[in-house]
Amino acid sequence: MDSGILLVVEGLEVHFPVRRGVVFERHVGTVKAVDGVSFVLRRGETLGLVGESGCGKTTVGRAILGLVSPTAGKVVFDGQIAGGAKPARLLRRRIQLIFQDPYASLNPRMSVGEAIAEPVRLHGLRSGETAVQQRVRELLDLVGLSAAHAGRFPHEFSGGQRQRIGIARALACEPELLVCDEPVSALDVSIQAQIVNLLQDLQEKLGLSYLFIAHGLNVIKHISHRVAVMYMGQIIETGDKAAIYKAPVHPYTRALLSAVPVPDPAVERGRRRIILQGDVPSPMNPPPGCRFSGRCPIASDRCDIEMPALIQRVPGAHDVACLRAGESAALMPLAALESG
Amino acid sequence: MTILDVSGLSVRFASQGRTVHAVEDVSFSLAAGETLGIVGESGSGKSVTALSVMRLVPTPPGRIVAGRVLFQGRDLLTLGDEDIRRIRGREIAMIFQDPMTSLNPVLTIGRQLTEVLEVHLGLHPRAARNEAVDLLKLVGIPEAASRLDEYPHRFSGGMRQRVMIAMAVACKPRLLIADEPTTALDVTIQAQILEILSNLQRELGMAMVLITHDLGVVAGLADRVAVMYGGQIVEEGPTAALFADPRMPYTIGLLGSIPRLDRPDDRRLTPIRGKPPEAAGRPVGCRFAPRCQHVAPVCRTEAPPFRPIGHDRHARCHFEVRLTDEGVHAQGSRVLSPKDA
Repeated sequence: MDSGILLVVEGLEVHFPVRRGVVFERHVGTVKAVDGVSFVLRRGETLGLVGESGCGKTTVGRAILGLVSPTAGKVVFDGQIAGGAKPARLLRRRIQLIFQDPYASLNPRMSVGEAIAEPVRLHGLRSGETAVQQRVRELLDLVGLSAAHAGRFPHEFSGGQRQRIGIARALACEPELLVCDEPVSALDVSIQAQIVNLLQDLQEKLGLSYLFIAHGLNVIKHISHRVAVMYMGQIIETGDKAAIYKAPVHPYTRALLSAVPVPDPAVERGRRRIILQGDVPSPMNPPPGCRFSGRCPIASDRCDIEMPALIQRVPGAHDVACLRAGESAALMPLAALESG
Repeated sequence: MTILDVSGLSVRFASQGRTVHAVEDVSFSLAAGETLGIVGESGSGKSVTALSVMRLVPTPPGRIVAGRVLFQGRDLLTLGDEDIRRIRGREIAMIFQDPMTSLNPVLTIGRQLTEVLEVHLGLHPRAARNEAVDLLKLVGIPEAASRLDEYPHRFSGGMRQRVMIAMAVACKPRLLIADEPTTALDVTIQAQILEILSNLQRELGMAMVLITHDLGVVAGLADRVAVMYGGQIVEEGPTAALFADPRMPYTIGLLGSIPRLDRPDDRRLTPIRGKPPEAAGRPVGCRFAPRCQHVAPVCRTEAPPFRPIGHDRHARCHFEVRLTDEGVHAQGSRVLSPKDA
């Protein structure tokens, strides 16, 4: 096995039963939140997991952390099986989570210093109270806060500062992998950029790997090395960032990219936009063939009955799950966006 | 022809014994059929500005303390309750960010749509129903006739926002105020809604005030842009000019903070340092001074005037700040020349 590989997710499925009734509860269906997801994450790398709400991206993150049990498939972290089973406890220190809403994830009655010191003590990462407090100061400094903040409580901080505290607390465990679930979505634009830069600095300093889960294609492009696009529980296109953003193949990826507004009136008004029809179908009874066929502007009859597999287009750099992968570029033209 | 002319608008809120200046000295105007984008971060006062135009600021705790809102020549702030009610929904309509909380969950979509038509246009129930079907078709809801009898919970987020738009345009208003109309929606659905809005605007010749935090949305739809910060408009001008040559350090900072799909991403973002000002206890001089890279002593003591800069543009800054290089990532290329030295 490649020693650079930190995390392998293979054939991951997470299904949730849907029940109706209170007294006579009956099983009426299954939501396939994650339906056969596989990917690899290398050390020091950021994989961007992008998709619209309900596509299963958060559930993938939760399954990796062992917060939901996979129905099938496996999660291998640094050569050890993780997720669901007992060994997950041992791995949990090495995989940490950063939440969208840092306020809801901090104990309002615990001072920031205490919140950060807790995991340090719990995992026995420093011995002696002086060393623990020293570590708390280091961590606060690392995320751009000052030692003076240690005695304050979460409500005294702004959203961006709270996110810094959340990151410091995650780093206190000395993790190798951070699962970042929409870490900047709740923040104002000017603060988002601060947190994105902080995450990039920390990655450089500490050699962390990130699974960066977000719906914002521009943030994903900025922070990721590789990108996986999800739709209804499946990865429909994945590859190096350049492949996804410069030569997207899947009709969904192409439509998604064309829909993101760009803050430049000259570019924005000259763009060709692919407007998808309809909504994402109910995850309870997905279409039998390609999940996207109902909304796809170039779907053929075959797409309605046959589920496309993720097929390699450029070895190691670009995989696509589409029966019409060869034709999408011609049938759904997309103006090249990036200048320079 | 000017349809809306807001001048010197100031709104205060009483909060825990303190007075919060939510909106201060805001002025802008809008021609018929034109779109004005108001951008700003949370707490910048953009939504309160919109609510003031509709006179929907909750009073108390809020109070419009100064200003004039001329709509087709009439000052909405001095109008009687009955008169303003006749204008709201009929001549000025509004759509909000969250379509679920703006729709009544216990009434069918059809009832909510026909109510608007019956009250404002005096249509007969049957005529109103036919009109409602047409409206749902207009905003792209399939099987409009049968969906009329369904309740809001049966509609997805994007579909609910379409219903809200249908209700808003039911009386063919002269002005539509859209407050973050796509913020709660996924990007593919956002594209659908923005397309509907811009088509409807063209067809009906409505003017639109589009409030958003997304500079991309504004770049695509707005003719003019007003950037708000700390309750004030800090820069205003035609969209193309403002994006190509932003003059207020806050606007420059905002543009530098956004990761771009249309730019190479090898460079770090250039965020604005610090955090937005608290609504209470804002700085005395320039609101942006504590975060500004080009701050000078005068900025901390004297509030900058909202002054003309070039053709048809205004900025609230003591200095001539300009981006001379191509691209907003360019650092250290700004020329500072004290205006009043």
